[in-house]
Amino acid sequence: MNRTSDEKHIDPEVARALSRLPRAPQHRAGFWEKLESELDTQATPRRGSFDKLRARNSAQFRFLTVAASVLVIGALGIFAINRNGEQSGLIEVAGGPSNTAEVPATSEPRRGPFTPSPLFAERLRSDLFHYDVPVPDGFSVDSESGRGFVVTAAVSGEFRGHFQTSNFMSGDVSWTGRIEPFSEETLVDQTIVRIPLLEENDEGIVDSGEDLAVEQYVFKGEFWDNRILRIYDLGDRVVTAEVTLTDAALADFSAEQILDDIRMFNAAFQPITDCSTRNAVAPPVPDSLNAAQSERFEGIVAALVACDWQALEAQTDPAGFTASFGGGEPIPLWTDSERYGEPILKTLLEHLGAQPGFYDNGDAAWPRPHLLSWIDVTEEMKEELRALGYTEEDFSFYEEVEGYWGWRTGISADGKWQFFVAGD
Amino acid sequence: MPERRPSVMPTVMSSKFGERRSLSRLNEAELVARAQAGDIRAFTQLVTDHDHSMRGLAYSLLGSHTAMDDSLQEAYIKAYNGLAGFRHHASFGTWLYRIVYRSCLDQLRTRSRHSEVSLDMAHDAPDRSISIDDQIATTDQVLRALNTLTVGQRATVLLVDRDGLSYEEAAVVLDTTVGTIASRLSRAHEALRNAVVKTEDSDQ
Repeated sequence: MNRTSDEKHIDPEVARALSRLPRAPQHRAGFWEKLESELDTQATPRRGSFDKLRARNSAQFRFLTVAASVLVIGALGIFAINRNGEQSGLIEVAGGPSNTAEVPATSEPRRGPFTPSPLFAERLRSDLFHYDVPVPDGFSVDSESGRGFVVTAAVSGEFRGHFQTSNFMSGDVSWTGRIEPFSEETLVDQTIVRIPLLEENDEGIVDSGEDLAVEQYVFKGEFWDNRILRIYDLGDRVVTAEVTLTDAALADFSAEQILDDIRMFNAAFQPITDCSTRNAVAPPVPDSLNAAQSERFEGIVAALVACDWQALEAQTDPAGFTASFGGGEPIPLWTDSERYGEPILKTLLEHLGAQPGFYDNGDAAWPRPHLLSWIDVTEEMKEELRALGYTEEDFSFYEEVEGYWGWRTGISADGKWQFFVAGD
Repeated sequence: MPERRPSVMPTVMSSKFGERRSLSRLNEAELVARAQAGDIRAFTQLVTDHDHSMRGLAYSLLGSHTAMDDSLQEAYIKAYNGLAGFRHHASFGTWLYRIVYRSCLDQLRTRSRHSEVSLDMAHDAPDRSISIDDQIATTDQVLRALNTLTVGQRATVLLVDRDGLSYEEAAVVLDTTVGTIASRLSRAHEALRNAVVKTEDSDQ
């Protein structure tokens, strides 16, 4: 049965019966406060990183734990990389798969365009949360993205192997201003801050003997927020860090609350060049695909087998590719998974090796049970799913929710690779 | 240093209440844009606007006040974290429904609460627009009937028949096809009618 998108087929008897259902109660007291508090916490950059690192008991976490002892633990650092005002893409979607990766360009600003004041036109060409900045050739970025802005960025490249910067401030951090925060009128302080660089070697974390000169601009907000912009001049490139302190439009506001955590990592977050599908056996192109879909299928599989992250990213639909219902760009998500031992690309390749199903419009999806109600999934199809690692327990759940809920991927009829997601 | 100009915002804006009131004047696209830029209060305004519908779905699927709140907390946080990926291919409401539905499924999956649905609901929030006697009978009938459905059927019938989503919107929320929505509805309607009739027969 096919119905148009506008068609509503409301059974009046059923609707009347459903109207008798008890109304959902209001939230219990404190629901919204708890939510806002949790969201505030989510907006705190290091917490997520720390939790993730702690969970993985990584060397990075152990190191950062030491580093944290010398820091004021606080709220937010927003980072961008800028080089001579050139424009390219969003740093937040970087997460370079290799050390020559360019930041993917995007045409989706987070909010309205930002016209920098003359004071910063030469060096900062970004919106508050939208950084139109390039990653220099030979560098890659691993970033923790948060709601349209970068909360941490690790830049790796020729600069002593690896460079990471994070800022910490105390206070409630968010963007609420309605006037241009960066202007000569709001500038209240301009200084040079010298930050000793530390590095990790066989002796542990030691002073490298070098300082990093940081230009610091302090803007006093006109109603409720203040901004601090720092420019880290690394010679051939510039890292800008911007922080906003919502509660800081106070007389005693001081930029001295900011401390920097700048370390060298020789091993952390090295660009990932390998993957779980290198030299894997490529599944044949299904006969049922049309020409555009076949070409895309071959492109995806070739990129997987070659572990070519850039080629894989090029296969995704630039108009929108869903890698997670929780958001996030595919390559950073997948590199992170592979880096920490989850062979997600192998999962993808295996699912592409299953038989596809087709929507009425010709879009293809793997595996084919994704398109069916669970009661219509045949034993043969279940056997395919078992071969992909699904269990009877999974099947029980699919029966309850009336549909397959595992990994699935899809290529539209015109050859666009649109999603690779799991149920939750 | 230049002198500070006087504030351009009225005093009320310095309070959260004033901020909310200001945000309420923004349309959804503007709120989404601000929320994507990290404005937490714009985000909470957005979910507040849709909260009634989300509560309806979560409560009907989970059947417990606490589970509803837990599920929606989780869903809203997930939505906030996923806002960067929201590209307006669907309405914000449909997108949020989708996340809430997944959150409810997670709850059901981990807590196996399916069988509890009718018990809490029947005593939680009576519909005072009808008499108590009628209310007890009809509410129980509908709840019993709903309990005969799978979660997928239940969600489908709630979204389409109660909340008025189109088949395509429901398909997006439930991550399935329009054809599956149609077949689920057909089975759900039949099951609901049968269940209500049986209940009425047994009650007489």
